[in-house]
Amino acid sequence: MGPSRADGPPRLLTVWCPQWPVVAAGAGAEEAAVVLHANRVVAATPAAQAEGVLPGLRRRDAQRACPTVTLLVHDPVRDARAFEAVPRALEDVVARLEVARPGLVRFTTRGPSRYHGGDEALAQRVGEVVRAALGARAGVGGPVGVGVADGRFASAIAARRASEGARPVVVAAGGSGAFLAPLPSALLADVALVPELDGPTRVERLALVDLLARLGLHALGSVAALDPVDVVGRFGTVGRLAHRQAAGLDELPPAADVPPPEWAVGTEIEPPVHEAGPVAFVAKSLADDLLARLAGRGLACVQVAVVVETEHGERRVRSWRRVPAFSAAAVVERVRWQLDGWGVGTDAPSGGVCLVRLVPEEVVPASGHQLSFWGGSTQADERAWRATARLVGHVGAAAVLVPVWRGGRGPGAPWGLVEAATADPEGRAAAVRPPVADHGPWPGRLPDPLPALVFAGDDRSPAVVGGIRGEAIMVSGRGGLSGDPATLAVAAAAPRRISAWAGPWPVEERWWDASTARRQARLQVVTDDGSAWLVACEQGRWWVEACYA
Amino acid sequence: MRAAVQPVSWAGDQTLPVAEALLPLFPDGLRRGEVLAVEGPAAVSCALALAAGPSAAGVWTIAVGLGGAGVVGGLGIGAAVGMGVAPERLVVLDPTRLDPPAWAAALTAAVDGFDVVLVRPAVGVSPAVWRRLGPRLRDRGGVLVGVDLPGGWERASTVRATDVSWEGVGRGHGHLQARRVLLERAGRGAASRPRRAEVLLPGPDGRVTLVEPSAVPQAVPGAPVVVELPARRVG
Repeated sequence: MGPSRADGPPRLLTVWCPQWPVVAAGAGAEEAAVVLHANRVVAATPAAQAEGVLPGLRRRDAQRACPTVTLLVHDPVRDARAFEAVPRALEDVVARLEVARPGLVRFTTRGPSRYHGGDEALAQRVGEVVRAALGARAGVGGPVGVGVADGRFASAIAARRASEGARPVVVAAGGSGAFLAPLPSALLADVALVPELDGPTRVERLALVDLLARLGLHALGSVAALDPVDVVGRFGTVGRLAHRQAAGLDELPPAADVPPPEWAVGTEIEPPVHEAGPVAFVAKSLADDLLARLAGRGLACVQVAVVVETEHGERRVRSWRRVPAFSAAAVVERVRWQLDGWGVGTDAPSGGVCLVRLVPEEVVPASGHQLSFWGGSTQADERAWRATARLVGHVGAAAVLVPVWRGGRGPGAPWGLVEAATADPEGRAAAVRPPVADHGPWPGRLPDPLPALVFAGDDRSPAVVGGIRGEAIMVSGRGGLSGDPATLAVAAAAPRRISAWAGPWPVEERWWDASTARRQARLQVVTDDGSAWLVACEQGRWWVEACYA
Repeated sequence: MRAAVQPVSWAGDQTLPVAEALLPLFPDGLRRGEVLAVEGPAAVSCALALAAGPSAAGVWTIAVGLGGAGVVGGLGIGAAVGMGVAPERLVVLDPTRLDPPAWAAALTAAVDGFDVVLVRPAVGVSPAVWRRLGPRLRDRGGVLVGVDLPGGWERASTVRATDVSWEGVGRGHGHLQARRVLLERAGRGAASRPRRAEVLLPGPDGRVTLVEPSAVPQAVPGAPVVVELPARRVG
C-alpha cells in the first residue's frame, strides 16, 4: 500500500504559487507591486517585499516604505481565472486534485507517486509542469514551491519551505510532527498556507496565535505537546483545529465514511446558459438544498466536488475544500471560480452549461458549528454579536470577553473568560456547558453561592488578616489558623472588623500547565460593614481572591 | 369603534421580565429605556439579579467593569450564572486600561447592542457622558443598571440594599450560605412610591429568593408599602 498509515492523515503533494494575487494581476518579474484589499496589502512581489512591504500592511505604510510601489486592485475572480492553467496542466499528472484557493493546489500522492517512481520524482515532475504552465509568470511572486508530507498543513508548510529553497521538499512518511515541531507557531495563522480558514475563522486564528505567543508557546512542537482536552477547554473549536495541525495531523480527523453517491444534488438547466450568473443562481439553490439535507443528519460539508457539463458533452470537475465547513455562499463562490477559470484558455467550452452537480466528498459532524442551542440565531443574537465586534474594534480584543466552561476550583469556576474575538458565535451554547467528559464535581471547589467579584491572577489584592491584638494571623502547615481573625485590611484600605469567618480550607490547584501546581488555604470572612470576602493564604501571604459584592 | 382603531401597545414590548423574587419591587417588570441605580454592599449581586429575568427570556447582557471600589476585580461568572444569567448571552467588558473617552465610546456601543447593560462608572468620566447616553438608551430600548452611581448621575429609580446579614457562617465554622438583605426601591414619577422586599441575595442556590412573600401586604394605591419584617435568624 501507500506510504501513509491507514489511520493517519493522507500523504499529500501541495503546489504553492506564492503571492498569487500579484501574479494574477499581471505584475512584472522585477516590479515592486502589491495587491490591495480593504486598504491592506494582500500580496506583494519579492521586489516589494525587499523594500519591507509585506502582506497585512496598510496602503499608506506600504507607500511610505516604497514610494514607487505599483498598487493593484484585489479581484478574486481574476485570481481564480488566471490560476486555472495550473490545475489544467496538472490533470496530465494526476486524476483528482483539490484547489484550496487560487495559488494553492494539492492531491494525494499515493497513485501518482507509484507511477512516477516515488515522491521526489513526482515533486520534480510537478514543479516542471507548473512552471511550464505559468511560463513567464512562474517566478513573479517567488519560486513555485512543491512540498510532500502527511497532512494538509505539513504539506503546505513543506511547499513554503520548497519555495524559499527553490527546490522540492519531501517530508518522510510519518515525519510531519517532527518536521513541524521546531517551526514558529505563527504559521498557524498564515492565510496563504491555511487557505480554508477564511472569513471570521481567520480573525480567530490571528487572535489565537497572538495568545499562544503571549503564553510562551512559540514553536509548533510546544503547541502540539498540550493536552487536547485543555486546548479545547481553553481555546474552543479554533484551538482544536490548530492543535491538530501543529501536531502534523489534518485539521479534521479523516472521515470514517465517504458520503454515499445518492447524497449528491444536481439539476439540468434548460435551455443551456452561457453566462456564469444564472449558473451561480442555480448553484445557490442546490447548495442550500445540499447543506440543509446534511444538517438534517447533523453533518456539515468540508469538501465538495463541483461538476459542470455543457450541451456538447464537455465536462469540468473540481474539488473544493473549506474548513470548518462550507456555507452555501462559499459553495457558490467556488462554482463561480470554476466557471470563470473554464471560460478562458484553449479548451474553453463550446456550448452552454446544461448541468450542475454538487457532490459532497467529505462530511464531518456538525458539532460546534451547527446553529445555536435555541435553534437558529435570533435578531437579538445577531445584534449583540455585531455590537461585540464593534466593541473589539473600539477597545481591543483583550478587553471584550465571553464565558466558556473550563471546570476547576477557582472563585469564578467552573467558567472562565476568553476573548470574544476568538469565540465561535454559533457555538456559544455548547461552549458554556460542560463537555460530556467533565463529570465533576470538582472536589475542593468553592461552595455555592459563588462570589460576584473575583480577583484573578495579577488583579489579586494583597490583604492583611489581623488578630484581636493586631498580630498577623497565618495558616500553619497543618492547615490551622494561628489565632482568631479580628481585622481584614484589603490593599491600602483601613482595616475592617471581622464579624464572622469560616475555614481555612486547603486547596491544591493545578493550572492547565502541569508544571505550576499551587497550594493555598482559603478563608471566608464577613466584615462588620456587611461585605463578605474570600481570602487565601499562599506561602505566608494573604490575597483577596473574591468579594461577595 | 374608536377603541378598535387605536394603536395597541403590548406591555411586553415596553418592559423586560424580572426575576420572580424582585416582583414586589418591579411589579410591571423593567421599563425599557430606563436607568436604574443599585447601591449598597450587595450592589453587584443586585445588578445580576436584575439581569437574570431578561437574560432567561433571550436578552443579551453586557457587564462593563463591575469591579472597582479601590480594588480591581472581574465579574464572577459563577455568581452571574447562579443568579440566572445565561452565560451564552453574556459579554464582559474589562475597561481597566481604557481612558475616559474610550470608556464612553465603549459604553455607547454597549447600549447600541445590548438590552441589559450593567456598568460601574469608571473614575474620571464626567456625568455629561452619562446624560448623553439617556436619549440613546430610550431609542434602543435597553435597560442600564448602574452600580454605585455618583450622586449627580441621573437614574429613574434606585435600588438599595440595607440590613445586610450573612447566614451560615460563624466564628470559624460553616460557610457562607445566604445573604439576607432588605431591598428598597425609590425613584421619580411612577416609581416615587418606595417599595421594599426582603430577599436572600443570593440564596443558598445562588439565586435571588424572596423571604416569606406572604409577609408582603397588598399594595394600596397611594399608600406607602410597609413590610413587616419576619424575625431574623441569627447566623
